[in-house]
Amino acid sequence: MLFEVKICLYLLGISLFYTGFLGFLFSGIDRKLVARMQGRVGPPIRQPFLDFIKLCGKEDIIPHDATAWLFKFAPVLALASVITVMLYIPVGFSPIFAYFGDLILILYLLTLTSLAIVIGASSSSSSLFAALGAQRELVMLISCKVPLAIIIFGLAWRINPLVDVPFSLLSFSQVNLWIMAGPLTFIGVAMLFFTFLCCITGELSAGPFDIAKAKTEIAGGTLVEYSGRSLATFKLAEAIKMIAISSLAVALFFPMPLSNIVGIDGLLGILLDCLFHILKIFLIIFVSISVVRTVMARLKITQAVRFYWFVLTPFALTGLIFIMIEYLV
Amino acid sequence: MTFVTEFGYWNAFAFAFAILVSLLISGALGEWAKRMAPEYRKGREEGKMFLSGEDESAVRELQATKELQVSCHNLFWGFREALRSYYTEAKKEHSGVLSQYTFWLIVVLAVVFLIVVIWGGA
Repeated sequence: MLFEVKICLYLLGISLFYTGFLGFLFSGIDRKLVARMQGRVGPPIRQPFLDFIKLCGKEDIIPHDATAWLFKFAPVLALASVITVMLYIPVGFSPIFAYFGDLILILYLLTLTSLAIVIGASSSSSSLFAALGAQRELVMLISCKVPLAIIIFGLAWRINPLVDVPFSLLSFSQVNLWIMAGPLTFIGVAMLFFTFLCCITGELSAGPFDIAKAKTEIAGGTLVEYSGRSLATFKLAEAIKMIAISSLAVALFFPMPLSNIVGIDGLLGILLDCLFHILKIFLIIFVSISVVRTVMARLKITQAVRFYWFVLTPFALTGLIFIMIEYLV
Repeated sequence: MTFVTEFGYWNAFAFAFAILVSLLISGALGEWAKRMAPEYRKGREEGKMFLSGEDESAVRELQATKELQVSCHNLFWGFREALRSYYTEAKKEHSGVLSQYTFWLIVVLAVVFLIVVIWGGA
C-alpha cells in the first residue's frame, strides 16, 4: 500500500475516530466522576457524544461583525492540528510518523490548537467576551509553556548520553527515567511528572485554569459566539487534545509496554498495549483533571501566571537540579 | 528528505502533507455536518453579538470611543498585572538618559565577557 494512503487511513482511523471516541468517552467519564465526587448524579457518560451529534444538526450561526472565513476556518485548523499531532504520539503502539518529527514539533502542534481558538475568538467574532477569553487564552498559553519546556528540555538533556536522538519520543521508550539512576533522580523525575500534570490542567483549560472560558464569568469566553458544527468541531478538537497531551505524558514518563512484561507478542500484544495505554491515560486524566476540577475553584488569570512562573517553574527547576546533581557528581 | 540534527529530526514534506490531509478531513467533517443542519440565513437576531443582556446601542457607543475595546495593548494584561512589581522596578531604569543606557550596555557586555572567559577557559 502506498505510504500516502497509509497516512490518510491513519489520520482517519486512529487520529480522528479512535482518539475522538476516547476523548469523548473520557470527557463523559470525567463529568460523571466529578458529579459523583460532588454528590450529584451527573450527566450520562454518553453525553459528549450526544452533544456532538446534536451540535452537528444545528445551524452554524456567524455573528454579523465576524470575518466569516476566518471564523469558520479556526475550528477546522484546531481539529487539523490535533489530528496531525496524533501521527507523532504513540497510543499503545508506535505512531506512523515516529521517525518524521520530534518533541519540538509536537509542542508546536499543541500550541497551534490554542492559537486557532484565539484566532477564531478574538480576530473574527468581534465579541467582547470572546476577546477577553482570547486574551486570557494567550496568557495561559505562554504561562504553561515555560514549565513544560523545562520538563522536555531537561529530560532530553538527561537521556542525551544514553540515546542517539534525545528529542525523539522513541528515545524515551528506550530508557526508564525512574530507575536509570539513584534516589535523587527518582525524586527529580517525580517532581517533573507532577509539574507535567499541572501543565496538562492548564493546557486543557480545566478546573482552576478554566479562565479563558469561565462560563459563569464571561459566558464561555473564547467559544461564546460559536454554535452548530463549528462548536462541535472545537469540542472534538478539545477532546482529541486531551488524549494527545495525556498520551504525551505516558510516552515521556510511563512508556513501558505491558506485552514485553507478560511476554505476549503479535496482534494480542498490540491489543494488550492499547488497553494498558488507555488505563494509563485514564489515570492521568483522573488525577490531573477530574480530581483537581472537583477540589479547586477557578483562579484569576494573574494567580495562574504567578502559579506557573513563580511556583511551578522553580519547582520544575529544583527537580531538574536533583537530576543534574546525581548525573554530574 | 528528513532534516536530522544531533538532537532531533523533522520531515517537512511529511508534515506538510499530513497537515493538508488533516485540513481536508476536518473540512469534510464540517461539510458532512452541513448536510444534517439547516443552513443559516443571514440578518437574523441570532447573529447579534452576545452581550449578556446589555443594551447594544450603549455598548456600540462605548466601543466607538475605545472605552470598551479589548485592544492589542490589553492582550497581555494578565502578565502585566502578575508581574507588576517587576515592571514597576524596570520602568524606573527607563529614564531616557543615553549615558545610563550606555552604562547598562557596558555592564552587560562586561558580565557576558567574564562568563565567556571563565566558561570558555574551563
